[in-house]
Amino acid sequence: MNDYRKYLDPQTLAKVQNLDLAARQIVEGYVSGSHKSPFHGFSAEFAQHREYATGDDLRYVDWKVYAKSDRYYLKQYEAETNFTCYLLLDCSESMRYRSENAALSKWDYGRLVAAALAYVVIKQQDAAGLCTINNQIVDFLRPASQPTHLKQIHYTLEHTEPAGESGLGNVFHELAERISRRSLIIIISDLFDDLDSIMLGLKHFRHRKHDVSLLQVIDPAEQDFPFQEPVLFRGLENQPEQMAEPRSLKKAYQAEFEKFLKNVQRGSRDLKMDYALIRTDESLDIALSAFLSHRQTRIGS
Amino acid sequence: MTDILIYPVFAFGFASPWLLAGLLTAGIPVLIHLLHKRKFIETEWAAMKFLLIATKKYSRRVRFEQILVLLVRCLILLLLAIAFSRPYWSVQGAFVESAAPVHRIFVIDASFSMRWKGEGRSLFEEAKELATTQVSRSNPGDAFQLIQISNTSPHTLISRPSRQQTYVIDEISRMRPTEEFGNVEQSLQTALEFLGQAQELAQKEVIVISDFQAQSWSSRQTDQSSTRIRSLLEAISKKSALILKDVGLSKEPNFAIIDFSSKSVFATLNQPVRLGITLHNFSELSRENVNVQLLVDGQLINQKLVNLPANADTQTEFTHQFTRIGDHRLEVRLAEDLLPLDNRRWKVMPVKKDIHVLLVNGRQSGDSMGKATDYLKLALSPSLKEQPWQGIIKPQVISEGELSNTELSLYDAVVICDVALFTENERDLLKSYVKSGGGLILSLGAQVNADNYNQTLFQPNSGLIPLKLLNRQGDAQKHTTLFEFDPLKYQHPVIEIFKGNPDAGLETTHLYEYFQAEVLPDPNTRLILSYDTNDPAIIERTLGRGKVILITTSLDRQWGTWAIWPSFPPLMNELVLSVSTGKWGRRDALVGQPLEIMTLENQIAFSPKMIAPDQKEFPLQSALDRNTDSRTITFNQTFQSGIYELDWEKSDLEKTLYAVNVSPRESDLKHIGPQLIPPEYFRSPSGVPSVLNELSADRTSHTGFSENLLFTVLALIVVEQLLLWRFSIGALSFLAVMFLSCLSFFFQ
Repeated sequence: MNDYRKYLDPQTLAKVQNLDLAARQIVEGYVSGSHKSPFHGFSAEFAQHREYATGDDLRYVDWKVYAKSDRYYLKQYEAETNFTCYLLLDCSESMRYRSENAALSKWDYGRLVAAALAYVVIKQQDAAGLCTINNQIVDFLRPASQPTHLKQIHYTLEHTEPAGESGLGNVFHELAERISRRSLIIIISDLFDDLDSIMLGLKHFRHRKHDVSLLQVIDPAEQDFPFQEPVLFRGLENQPEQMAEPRSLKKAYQAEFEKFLKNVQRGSRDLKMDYALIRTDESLDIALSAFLSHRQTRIGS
Repeated sequence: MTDILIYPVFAFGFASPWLLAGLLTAGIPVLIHLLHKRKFIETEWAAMKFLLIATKKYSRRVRFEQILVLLVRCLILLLLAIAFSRPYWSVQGAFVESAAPVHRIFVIDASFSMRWKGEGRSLFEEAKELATTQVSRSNPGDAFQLIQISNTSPHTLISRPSRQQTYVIDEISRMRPTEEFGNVEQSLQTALEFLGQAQELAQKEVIVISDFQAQSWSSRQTDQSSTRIRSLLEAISKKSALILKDVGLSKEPNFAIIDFSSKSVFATLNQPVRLGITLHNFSELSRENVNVQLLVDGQLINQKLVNLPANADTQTEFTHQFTRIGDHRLEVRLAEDLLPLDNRRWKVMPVKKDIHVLLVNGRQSGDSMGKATDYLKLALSPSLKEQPWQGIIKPQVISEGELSNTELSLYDAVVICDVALFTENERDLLKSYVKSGGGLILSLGAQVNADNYNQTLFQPNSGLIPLKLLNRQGDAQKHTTLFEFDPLKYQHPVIEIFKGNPDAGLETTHLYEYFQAEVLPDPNTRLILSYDTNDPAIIERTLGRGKVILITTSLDRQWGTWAIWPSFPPLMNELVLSVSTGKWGRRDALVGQPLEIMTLENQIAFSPKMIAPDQKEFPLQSALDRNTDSRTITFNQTFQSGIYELDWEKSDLEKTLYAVNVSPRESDLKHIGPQLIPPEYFRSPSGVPSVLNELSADRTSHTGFSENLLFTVLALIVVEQLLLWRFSIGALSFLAVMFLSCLSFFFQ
C-alpha cells in the first residue's frame, strides 16, 4: 500500500482544486502569467502542449489545436518550467506535540500541507523541492517536476520523525546560500525558536529575492491553554519541566503567546512575506485555501 | 427600694455559640487549595518558552492573587459562621453598646402581701408596671418568660420563651394578685428550669420583683427551706444575670386576724358557743380600741374594742347562741388597714339537732340495768318519764347479732359494749364505717374473748387498732385490787374538762378489773387515759376520716363503780362527741388548699356545684377515695378567701358551707433585710446603677453584629467574582468593603 496516498486525501485535494483551481493556477499565474511575475521576459520558445484543466487561463489555450483535434490544449513555453518551489518543513521535536483535542500533531499536519502543496506544484509540472529541517538540514530533495519526484517527496515525509532542537535561523542562512535560483519558498513550522534569528534567516531569503511564504502551524492548546487542573509541563527540545497552575497562569501565558504571534506576523509583513497561522484543529483544506486565496489576493493586487 | 444586682460590666459572647463550629469551614478553601495542588496531570509541552516567561513574570503576582482570593473565600466562610453564631458585646455605660437578644425571665411576686396599697396603688401594680416597662424597652428578639410567686395557683404564666412583646405585656397586665402565700422556693426552681430553655440565647436575665417579705424569703419556717432558697439564688446567678427588684416596705404596720376557731366542730340549738379569735399586731407600736365585729349569716351580731399590743397575739372571744339548724356563716372583721385582706376571717358553724349513736349490747339480761349498754345509754341520754331528755345525743341500742344488718352510715357513732366475739365480716364493716368518717368506741367486759379480738379487731395489719390484748388484771368479784385513772396531765382535749375540776371525779374513779393491752407503735394512736398501773385505759386511733376509741374496761358495774361515778356521764359524752366529728369533715381550709367534701351514698347521683365567694360556679364530680372507702369530692379552686357554698341542686337539701381563709404567714410584712440574703447578692443603689435603669437608658433597637456580618459576606462574594474577573478592580473593592465594614461595626 502506498502510504503516501494518505497525504493526498482526495477530498482534501479536490476541495483545494475546486477553490478556483487554486494552487496550480495561482502558481502558474504567479510564475509565468502575471505582470508581477518575477520571471519577466520569459522565453517565447514553445516547449510542449498540456491538456487543459479546469481553471486554466483561457488565454493560453491553443485554439489551432482545438480546431484540429477538438481538444483543449494549452501551449507551454520553456521559461515556465523554471518555477521552483522549496517546501521547508520543520521537523524539530516541538512539532511532535499534539494536544488531547487535536486529531493531528503539528508534524502530521505540517507534512500533510507540504504533501498537498508539492502535489499541486508538481501536477502543474513545476519543480518542487523538499527540505526537512531542525537545527540543521535533515533531508534535502532538489526541486524536480517529474511525477516520480512527488513520490520521493512523499517517501521522505513518511520516513522522517520529528526530533532534535530547533535552529531555524542558521538553517535558513545556509539554505539561502544554497538556493541560488529565485524560488518560492514555503516554510511550514511552529517557529518555536529564537524569533530574531528566524527573522534574520528569512531576511536572508528575501535578500536573495526569494518569494517566502510562512505557514505557522500551532496546536490549538498552545493558543487556548485549556488546562484547568495543575499541570506538570514537560518541555520538548530539552526544555525544563515546569509545574503550573493553569487557571492563574492562563492570562499571562496567552499574553506571551499572542505577543509572539504578533511579532511573527509583524516580521512577515515587514519582510513582505505571506503569512498564515494554521491551527491543527482547522480543516486542512480550509487552511490551505485560506493561504492560497490570500496569496492570490496579494499577487492580484 | 433596693436593687440587688448581679451583672457583668463587660460582656462579649455569642448567642448561639455552638454554631461557631462553622469556623472550621474556613479551612475548606485552604484544604481544597492544598488538595488541588497535590493532584496534577502531566503533559509534554512544546511552547515551553512562553510558559517559562509567563511563570517567571507573573508568578509573584499570581501567588498574591491566589492568596487574596483564598483570603476572601476563607473570610466569607468565617464571617458567615460568626454571623450565624450571633455575636454580641455589651459594655455598660460605655459609648459602644450592642445588645444581643436576651432571654429574660420575670418572676413576679403575686402573694397577697403584694396587695398592700400605699399611695394610690398596690405593690403588685407597681411590680407589674416595672415589668411592663422593662418588656416594652427590650430589644426585638429578646425572649420572655413569666413566672409568678404563688402557692397553688399556676406558677408558670408564659412557659415557652415568647418574643412577642405585646403578648408578654398583655399577660403581665392580666396578672392578678393571689390570696395565697408565696412559695418562693417553687417559683425560683421553675425559673432555674426555664434557664435551660432558649439555648440559642446565651445572655440570660432573671428579674425577680417582690416585696421580699421575710416570711416568704428567708423564712423562719424552716432552715432547710431558707438554705434551699439561697442555693437556688446562687444557682440562678451562676447561669444568668440575677436582678432582684425590691418593691417592698420595711416597717409598715399591719393588723390581722390570724385565727378564728371554736372548740366544738358543730353547735347545738340554743346552746351558747364560744368563738375564739386571735389577733396580731405586726408593728412596733401598740394600738388601742380597735374595733372587732362578729357577723353571723351576714348580720352584725356583736362587736367590741380591743387593744393590740405591739408584735403580739391578742386573744378575744365572742359567744353566740344559734337558733336555727343548719350551716351558719360566721365572719369576724377587724378595722381596715392598708392590707385589708387579712382583716376578715370566716368560719362555718354547723348547728345540729341530733347526734345518733348506736349502742351494741353484748350481754343480754332481764335485770334492770343488767345489759352492758344500760348505764351508757343513761349517761348519754338521762331521760326521765316526767322530763324527756332534750340533749342532742340520741342513743339507740341493738344486740350484737343485729350489727351486721344495720346501716351504720346513719349513725354518727357506734359504741360496742362487752361483745364476746367478732367475725371478720363485722370487723370489715366497722372498719369501712370508721374510714368513711364514723366514730367507734370499743369497750370490753367479762365476755370478751381476747384471742378473738386480737385476731379480728386488733390484727396488726387489717385491724382497727394495732394492739394486743393480754391478761385481765385484777378481780372484779373479789375486789382484790383497786385501780384508778391516771389523766396523763390532761393533755388530751377529751379530758380537758376534768382539768382543775377534782370534783368531777376522774382520778377517783374506782375500777377492779381491766384488760392489760400492749399498744404497738403507730403514729395515729394516742393514749387518752391510763391506769395507775401505767397500763393503757383509753386509747384513741385515727383511721381514715374517723376515729376508734378503745376502753379497756367495762362500761357497766361489773368491773367497777365507774358507771355510777360522776366522771362517767361527762367523759362518755365527750368521747361520743369526739368520735362523731369525723362524719362532719373539715369545713375550713386555707386559700389554695383543697376542700374535701364527703358525700353520702344517697348523694352520689347528684351533680353538685360549688359557688365561690365571687359567685363563680364550679360543677363538681364525686370520686371514690380509696383510702377511706368513701366517696369524696375534692375541690381545689380555693383561690379566694370567703364562704364557699356547695349547692346540691336539690330543693330539699340545704347548701353546705365551707370557709376558706388566707394564710396568716403573709400578714407579717416584715422585710427580709440585707442580713438574710447573702451580702454578695446586694449592691448599694448608689453604686452600680440598676440594670433596669441601665437598659432603659440608651438601648435602641440594635440588630447586633449578625446583620452587618451578613452584609459583609454578601459584599465579599461580589468581591471574589470581581477578583476573578479583574483583579485590580476586585482588590480595590475588597479594600472598600473592609473599610466600610469596620466603620459600620464601630458606629453600631
